[in-house]
Amino acid sequence: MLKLEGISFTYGEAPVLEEVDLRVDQGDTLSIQGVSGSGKTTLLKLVAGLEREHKGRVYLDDEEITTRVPEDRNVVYLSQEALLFPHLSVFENIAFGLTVRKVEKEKLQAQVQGLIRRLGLEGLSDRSPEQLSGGQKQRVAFGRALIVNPDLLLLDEPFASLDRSTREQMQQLFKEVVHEWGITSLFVTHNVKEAIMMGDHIALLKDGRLHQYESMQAFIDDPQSGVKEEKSFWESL
Amino acid sequence: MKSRFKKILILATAALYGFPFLYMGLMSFARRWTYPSVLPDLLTIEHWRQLVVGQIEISYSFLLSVVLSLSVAATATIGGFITSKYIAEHRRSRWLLLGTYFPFILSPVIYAAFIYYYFVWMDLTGHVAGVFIGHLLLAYPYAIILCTGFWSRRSRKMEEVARTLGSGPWTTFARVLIPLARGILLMTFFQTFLISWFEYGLTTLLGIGKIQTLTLLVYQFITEANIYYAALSSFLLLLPPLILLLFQRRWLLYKVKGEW
Amino acid sequence: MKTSDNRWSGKFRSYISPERLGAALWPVLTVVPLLAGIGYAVLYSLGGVGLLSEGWTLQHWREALTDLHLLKSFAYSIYVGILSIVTSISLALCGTLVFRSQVGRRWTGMLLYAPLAIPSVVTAFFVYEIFAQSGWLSRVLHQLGLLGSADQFPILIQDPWAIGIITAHVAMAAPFFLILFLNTYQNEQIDELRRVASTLGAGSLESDWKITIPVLFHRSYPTIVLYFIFAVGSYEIPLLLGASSPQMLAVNVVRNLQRFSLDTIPHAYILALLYVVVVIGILWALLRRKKLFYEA
Repeated sequence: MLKLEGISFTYGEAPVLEEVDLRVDQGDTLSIQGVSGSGKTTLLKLVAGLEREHKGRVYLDDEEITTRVPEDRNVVYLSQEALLFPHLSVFENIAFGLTVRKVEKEKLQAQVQGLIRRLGLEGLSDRSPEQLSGGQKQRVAFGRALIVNPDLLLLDEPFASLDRSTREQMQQLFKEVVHEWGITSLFVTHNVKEAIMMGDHIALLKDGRLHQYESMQAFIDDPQSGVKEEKSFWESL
Repeated sequence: MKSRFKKILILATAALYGFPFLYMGLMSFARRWTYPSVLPDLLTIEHWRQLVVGQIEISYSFLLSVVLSLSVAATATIGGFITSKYIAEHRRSRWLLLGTYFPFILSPVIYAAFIYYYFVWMDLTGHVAGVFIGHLLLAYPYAIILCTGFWSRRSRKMEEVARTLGSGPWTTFARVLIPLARGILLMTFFQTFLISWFEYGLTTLLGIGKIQTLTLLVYQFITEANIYYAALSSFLLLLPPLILLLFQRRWLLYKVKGEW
Repeated sequence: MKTSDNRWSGKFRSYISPERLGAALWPVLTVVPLLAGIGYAVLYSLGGVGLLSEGWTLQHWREALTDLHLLKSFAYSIYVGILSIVTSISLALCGTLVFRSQVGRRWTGMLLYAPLAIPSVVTAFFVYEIFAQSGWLSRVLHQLGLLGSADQFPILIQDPWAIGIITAHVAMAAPFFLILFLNTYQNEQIDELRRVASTLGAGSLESDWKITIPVLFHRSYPTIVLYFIFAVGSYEIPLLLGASSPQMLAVNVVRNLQRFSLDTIPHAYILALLYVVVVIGILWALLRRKKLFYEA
């Protein structure tokens, strides 16, 4: 369970986030829709602990983690770029989180192999990241995040740079796995359709202010979300 | 006609560039070379033989220089790398860089003149430790300057990924940042090695004649008019940059300090 | 899965992170020794500290700034610096025009970089061997019957016009600038620019004058300035090849610092301080530009 209370952040003089409150229940995915520059990435960085100079409090599973360094949060961040470690193989990339936790070799082997199978990356273990396609890279990044069994997964437009069919596959895979593992996640996107599709709940981030909707329908009905506009456009054709 | 003229110019440059190596080579084999002979009167392999069996003075200086320069390079590279991260990500990184450039471009021997008093006061003059610190004062700023080029948005993002995956700052350095920066670190290591290897002015001042590095020994042979040995030991001095010339010659371009 | 069992140790480890260690190292190895050294020099030159200190006084500065020997040494260094760099750049520019069509050939790489492997001590030694009165050049001229004896050969080493020093500087800097220019030539795609100029009606010579040279200068200006500073402060080359008077700055500083009689020490420091002022001034002017230093 993730809870944010009164989060405000300014960059220099400019306010980026203002009084953001938010709540995601255990195992749920909250989609946050917002245009670029609305403060989405900043919000995620702040939850991950990569940006700690902010007002307000962050709670994870009822524990306050506001001042905790990123490596002690068990909150993993996935972005549009896969950001695989170029000096490590696919296997080593996925295993990274376990390696730094000094997990025993056999246990590590078993876990990584299992995840490689689950993500359909068989046969690619020894490849280096540059030999992978965009979709494969994103799968490896996903595996690297999942292996540490994160308390919270942050997704910052992770599928934005993929082609359409790969994106649809990945969205499907993501939904399945997150559900399977019962992972709490924040999914940030500018794409209204993706936001509706990926989230159990939805919120709108606009000019640094966040509004969390009671239901999907409330979001769709809200003129601010722009869903109605788009709907009427397609109907007018 | 024009291209022929160009060819001649190119050949002339080649001859000019090759000449020092040939001349020094010849001189290292000379036993006697009186005026006005253009070529040596007598040749010998004695000097080279002595070098191989270990002329004690040269061997000692060579070993001292190797150990000293390796330690300086290792310390400066590690220190410079971690400092460069701090500086590159600092809000006032320009000012910090200015403070780094300044000791780097200052004439080493004049820098040595400024700090000489403190070295005497701390009883560091005439000791290897003192010369080591002196070399570090030259090599470390240069290491920072070379390493700041590594830090970018990309390195920053890689670091953030590693941190969220549970890797602390030290582990992140060891497992992600250092492997990513391997190329730049290797270059920095070579450059700082050469700074120390060729250092002359600061070493004479802070070593007060007691620390005889290879560069100092070559200089001593020259001033003693012991030119055959000077030529011979020059080749030893040339060994590290020649390795660069063969394998990574682009790095020679960055070899500016410890030079003039 | 928690990262560390012991939260405190985790926090502590993050607290002394590598970059914080680096941040602590930085002042200790850069500004502190430098400022302490300069501070000591200033105090010494004002009579505040030192073995022979007789209390605060401006006398050393008054003496130094009217001491012809000292001022000459300063001006001499600037002269050597300017002449070394101007000559090196001129040669390198000519070389660029000759070699630009050869870049990329295998043998040129090794050849062009070869001189960069030679350190200043060896350069000085070599220049001495070739240009001394009994040096190799003199021998060749003698064999050709153009020279009767060694002392008829002009004095090029330890001469008042610093020909030996400048020759050695040029031997070090010209090959460096040649490669720098050739790299810039390629990176800036000057050939393309010249082609455009020729379609606009510029002749080959004109396009070199109006494009090649300005572009090269624009890109390598900071490096040139840096090398000028190095040349002004050079030590081992003038130590071997310089005349006893006038002396290059660095040589003069060290001599004055190491005299048996201690009363020249303030002068050594004053000369060093003057040099620092010049370097600061140049650095300041450079830093106002956007790009920092050499992009070789």
